[in-house]
Amino acid sequence: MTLPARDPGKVVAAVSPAFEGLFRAEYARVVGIAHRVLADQAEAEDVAQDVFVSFYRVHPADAPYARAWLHAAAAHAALNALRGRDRRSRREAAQAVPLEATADDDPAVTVVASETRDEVRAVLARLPERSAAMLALRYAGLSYAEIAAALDVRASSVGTLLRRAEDAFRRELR
Amino acid sequence: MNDTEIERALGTAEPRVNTDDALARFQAKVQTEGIAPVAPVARPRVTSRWLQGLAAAAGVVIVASALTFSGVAGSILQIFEPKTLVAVPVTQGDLNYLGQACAGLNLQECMGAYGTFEWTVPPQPKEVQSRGQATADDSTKQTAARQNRTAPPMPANIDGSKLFITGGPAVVQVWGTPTSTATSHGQAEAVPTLIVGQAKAPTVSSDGITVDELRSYLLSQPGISPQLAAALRAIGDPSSTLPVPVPAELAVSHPVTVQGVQGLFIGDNTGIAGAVIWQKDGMMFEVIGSFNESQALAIANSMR
Repeated sequence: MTLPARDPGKVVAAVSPAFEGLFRAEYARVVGIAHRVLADQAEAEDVAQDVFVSFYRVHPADAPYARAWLHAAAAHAALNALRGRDRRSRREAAQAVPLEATADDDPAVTVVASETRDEVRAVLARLPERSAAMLALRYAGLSYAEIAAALDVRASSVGTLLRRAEDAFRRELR
Repeated sequence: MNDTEIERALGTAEPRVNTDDALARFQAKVQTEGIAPVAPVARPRVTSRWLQGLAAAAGVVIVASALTFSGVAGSILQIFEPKTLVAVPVTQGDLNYLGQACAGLNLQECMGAYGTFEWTVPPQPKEVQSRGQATADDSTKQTAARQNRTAPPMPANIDGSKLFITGGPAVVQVWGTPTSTATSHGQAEAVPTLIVGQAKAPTVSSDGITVDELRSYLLSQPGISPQLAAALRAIGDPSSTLPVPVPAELAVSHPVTVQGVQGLFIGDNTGIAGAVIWQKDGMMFEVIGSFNESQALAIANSMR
């Protein structure tokens, strides 16, 4: 992925202050959610760009539901991308994992970890949409209240739904 | 795999992002692609436009079927009856492609670009028979000209042949439509809570062209993007598979089991609105509304 040269002044002139504020506040979180699903930062950033473009097209930046919409869209768009990966891109994702490892890591351990993460992504792709989204949001660090807002469920139900999602996740791994 | 390993696998290291660069990339994208922001008016979380678009999918399906399927040689024979449904992702690029071909035209004029389009019986808002009749001619050249492309030559046996698309009767029931409300930002749109539709499954008849000939010809037309054409060509059994267009950037879809048959769930990317469409005993059913997949399936399975 090639990023354009940084030009903050031009950026400020192109989008509304409200949208820029939303982008700056939520971009890292949106990438983080997509990254939990995809385990590939470049792909996660591509998903985040698409999510913000989708929001930009049809929603006002000051909408009260903006953050929840972005979080939910990040999870669902990343799961869509995960399911759409062909074998080649899955191999690339597995190969991307060692970038986070240190030079001192045992190569054998690193390979096992890569295979495990690949297996985890395959399980995520097979889970029901809401369960997979719930796991992605939770492990991206969202609070129960944020998950409830994103997935349009009661905050008091998030704990139960999350446990069910984790149980389904374990069953799929067996 | 134990809990710790699951948590470690899902909880990958926090990605380090450069928000300034990302914002610059975003700006470049919207400028290059001419993406305009939404007008500053109040909108509900689930826009009625989205729901209306989904509700209109059945109509689009009929058009898509006409563009995808054809008939056998001889007299008028029924050559398409849906037994299964398959989602066909339609991107904004595909719509732009079609938009160029149909610039400034209404539906009938646009369909006319691919042949003469006539309503044998115009659609009416109550229980009526509706039938569209399309006759191919060489007006695809005009469509191609709008895209600076040359239309492929029309095979002699397609020129002048007819397709008969029969649909309906159809019934649509809407529940929980709130009245539009005035807000500080303007008028908010009304959003139905639940839409249930039922219609006789559409069928297509032809007076004499083969499936391969017509599909190949129509999918090479200027208004059909190469990506969309490839997706439609990939459909296994075109004589009994109904393609359901799904907006790729806005929605997700996957097969589901509804009332013992295979159907299709379509949900928007936020997960707060969805639809279930299925075919059973020659009838098409759809349940659309502001709910998630499990709720949509519960409603669909409760229908008698």
